Amino acid sequence: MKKRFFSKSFRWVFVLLLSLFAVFPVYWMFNTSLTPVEGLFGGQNLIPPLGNILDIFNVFSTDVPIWRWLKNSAIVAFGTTFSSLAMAILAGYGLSRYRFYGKGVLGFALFATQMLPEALLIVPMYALFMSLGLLDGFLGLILANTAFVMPVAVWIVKSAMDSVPFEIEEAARIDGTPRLGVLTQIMIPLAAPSIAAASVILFFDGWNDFLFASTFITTPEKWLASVGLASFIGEFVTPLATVFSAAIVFTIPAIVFFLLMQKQIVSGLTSGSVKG
Amino acid sequence: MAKLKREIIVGESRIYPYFFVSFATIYLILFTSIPLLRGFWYSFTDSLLLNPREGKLVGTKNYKELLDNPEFYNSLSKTIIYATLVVIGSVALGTIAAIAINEKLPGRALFRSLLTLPWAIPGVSVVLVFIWIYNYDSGVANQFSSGLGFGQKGWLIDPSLGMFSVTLASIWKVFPFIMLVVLAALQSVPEELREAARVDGADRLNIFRTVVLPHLIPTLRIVSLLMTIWSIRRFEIIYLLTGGGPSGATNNIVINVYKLAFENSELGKAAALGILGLLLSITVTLIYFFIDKRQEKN
Amino acid sequence: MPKIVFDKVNKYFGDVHVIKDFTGEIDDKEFLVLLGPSGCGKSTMLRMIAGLIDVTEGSIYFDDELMNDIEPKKRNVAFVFQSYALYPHLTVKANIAYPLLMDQFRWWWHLPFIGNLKRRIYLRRPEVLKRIEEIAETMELTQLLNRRPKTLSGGQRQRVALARALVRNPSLYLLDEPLSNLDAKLRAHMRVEISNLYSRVQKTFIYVTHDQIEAMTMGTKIVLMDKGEIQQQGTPQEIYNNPANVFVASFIGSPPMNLLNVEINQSRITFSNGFSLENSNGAMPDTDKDKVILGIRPEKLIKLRDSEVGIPVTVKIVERLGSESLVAFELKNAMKDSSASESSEKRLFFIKLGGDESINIGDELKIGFNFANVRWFDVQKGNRI
Repeated sequence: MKKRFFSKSFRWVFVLLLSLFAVFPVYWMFNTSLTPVEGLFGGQNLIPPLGNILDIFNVFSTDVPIWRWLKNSAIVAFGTTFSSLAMAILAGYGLSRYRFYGKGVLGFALFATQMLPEALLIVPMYALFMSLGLLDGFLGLILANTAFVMPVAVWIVKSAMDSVPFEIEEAARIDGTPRLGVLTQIMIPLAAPSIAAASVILFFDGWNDFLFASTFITTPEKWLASVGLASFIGEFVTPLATVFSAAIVFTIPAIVFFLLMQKQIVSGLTSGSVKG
Repeated sequence: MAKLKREIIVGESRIYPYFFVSFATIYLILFTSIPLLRGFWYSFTDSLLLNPREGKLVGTKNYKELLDNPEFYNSLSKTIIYATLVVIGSVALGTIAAIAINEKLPGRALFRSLLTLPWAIPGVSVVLVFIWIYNYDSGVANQFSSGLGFGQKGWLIDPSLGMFSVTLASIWKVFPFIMLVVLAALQSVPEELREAARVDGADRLNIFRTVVLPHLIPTLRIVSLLMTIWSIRRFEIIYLLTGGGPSGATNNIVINVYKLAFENSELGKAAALGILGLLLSITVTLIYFFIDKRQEKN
Repeated sequence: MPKIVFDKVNKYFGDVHVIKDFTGEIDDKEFLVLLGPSGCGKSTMLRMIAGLIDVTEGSIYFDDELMNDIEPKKRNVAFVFQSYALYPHLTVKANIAYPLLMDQFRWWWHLPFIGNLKRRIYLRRPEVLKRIEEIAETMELTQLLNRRPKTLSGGQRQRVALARALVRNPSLYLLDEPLSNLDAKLRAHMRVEISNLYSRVQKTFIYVTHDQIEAMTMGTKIVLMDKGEIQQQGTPQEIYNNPANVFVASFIGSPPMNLLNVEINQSRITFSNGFSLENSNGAMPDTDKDKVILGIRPEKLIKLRDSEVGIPVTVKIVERLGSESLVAFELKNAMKDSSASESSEKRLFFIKLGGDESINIGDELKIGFNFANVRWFDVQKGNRI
């Protein structure tokens, strides 16, 4: 009995330390955004002055165009989500329910795209988009992001649909549901949690992207938040508190959604790859 | 029998499946395969960024130049070192975290959320924080470091520390993913197997080695492969933290490609380097598959 | 050894009370069957005996030694699991040898190479090899020693599980529904194997099952559980002939005991279809209630001639099993007035008849019985009176 308590508390302390390690940089963002300029140089305090917690949002009161950045990021993120989801649901359904020539090849190809380094493809994509006039625009970004993240969504949707017993579909067909109706009335509602998880992943792929956003877009008015934040690196004009305030605003949606959807996201990604 | 039945009732038509997958397939062909092929094509030209169309075929000149340049081998080694360190570090950390958190503990749910946090943070935010933490004069890393008697370190400035700093930030960001995957695998270990081992007299470590570990290994393998590929691909964190420096200490292949294309405008060469990087990814994947096959034979 | 004693054992999972005041004794060399429907707590009980689960309240003694806090490996028990629980990546030989290995294990064997080395040395010892070979031969596994569990059939895996249990020469054998995953024919075969094993090793066996046939054929003593409580404990014959309550009566026996709602008045019994009988040759229930349950086993019912006085019934189902016929019947209205027909039961009751009885659906029969074979039960509480 004593042994168990010992190992349990040791374990607890270990988990505590690990959590501190995980949380510290995030905490530091908050800390820095709240610390006045004087406190930052020559030794920052571990605990910031907690006078006004809302100061973490101080970026809104500066002339940093944070709203515009966020809006741009949102446009690209939503666009990526919708376009990817639409194609992924269709493709996931087809891959899950049908046998056809080329199915194996397609499945493999989808997996293979995950191996492609963006930095490789960005070069010809840049050239391609340049000739199509898609540079310096949100559509180009949406298209580029979708290309890379859609296979992940297909995987998640397909796995979710695989676990729906096909008897349900058969019953629906016998009851007279048209083929497309089976997809919209039966499969999508049943796969909804995974689809939601996939949406979160898709959204934040567009939200977090830096490579395409910084390469394709040149006019500062169209900057995404990720590019805007990166522009703070190396310049010494903007106060750090503001920089981190902007970072916090940019980060909070991601934290909220990922924490809410933890379980679904993991099961969406791992179903099929975790061998029982 | 079941599959045949499924095909008959649900998948009657020969055309429908193609309809469903067509959108995704065409899209990928357009935006992945075509650029890939064009990239392949560009690698044999001397195109410049400003006007790619005007590049002329120069055969394998780009490749030769790359392979003759010691810089390439530096990139290659940095890529491999980085990938190795990050994979080992994150898989180890993630697995240990998963094991630690698998049992009932007070505050378990809270700890789990905290441990998942790094994964949710966007790359750019991670970079901003770590740049500040690593700051030579005022970063908290040096605050701790001096406090512990190690003196101030040039985390992002000292070539010998560059790789460490970048690796640490990467492991921090990535380990929750592994933790969650391994946790899922741990929870699918059949309870009766554990009980059998207990009755047979195995102590906790033995139970782990005999029951849990064999169950985990396939998962760990897949996750390691995924992590390796991702590490080879990783751009944001390294580029923004060190830009490939200091003095090329973290200049991996992907960053080099970016620089060649967008700073030197040498499209053709960048494409060639990119293709070499792709070959690396493919080689690594093949290695993993071969190891997998050999294990299965056993 | 060991003689096992349970003293008011209770188990809670959080707030859920899963085992209630389990008290009893198991003699040495007994084949005890823990019988009951799914969820009654029998597997939990078995695991508490093994030491895999803690006891919340109460005590378990092996030979007068308190076992509550003792780990499984120190209890010298063997456990055979429903899913066999074989170590998937070890060979059959290694699986069987595992308990022996663990007995030898020292903490410093965990160090990288030492452990491996020690293990190999140990497994080469002649007495160890001999023991493994003996056991393999007993369980007919000699051909399979180098195979992995994946490649074995269900029956073979089960034998490996048994071999692993045997190898440590335990004093107590615990089996958790070991035959549930096997097909009917294999199950019958393995039942015999396990019984043979029992007579061979002459140790205490505790066997968990929901199958009353297994219980009746294999056990020397049965503990019947429902919802965490012991319903009755005794030999198979005792439980069959003298069920303690309605649950036991209807659980044991296939088909189960017929339980009829009757009204009693002095020595007059009135069935729900209005028919009445005089009790001439048996005891009346010891109660002052006027409604009781009359229980009688199907094989104790007698088909009377139409001319005799008996309960009128209508045949609903006939199952011909070759050696016997199972006839299900409903009570037929003895009175013609409507009030009786509303209250008559529509339940099916069973009688066992000979294999070549010419009975058809719709036939009307007269049923009788000897009151000495009747068991009375209380209507509200279900217990014997």
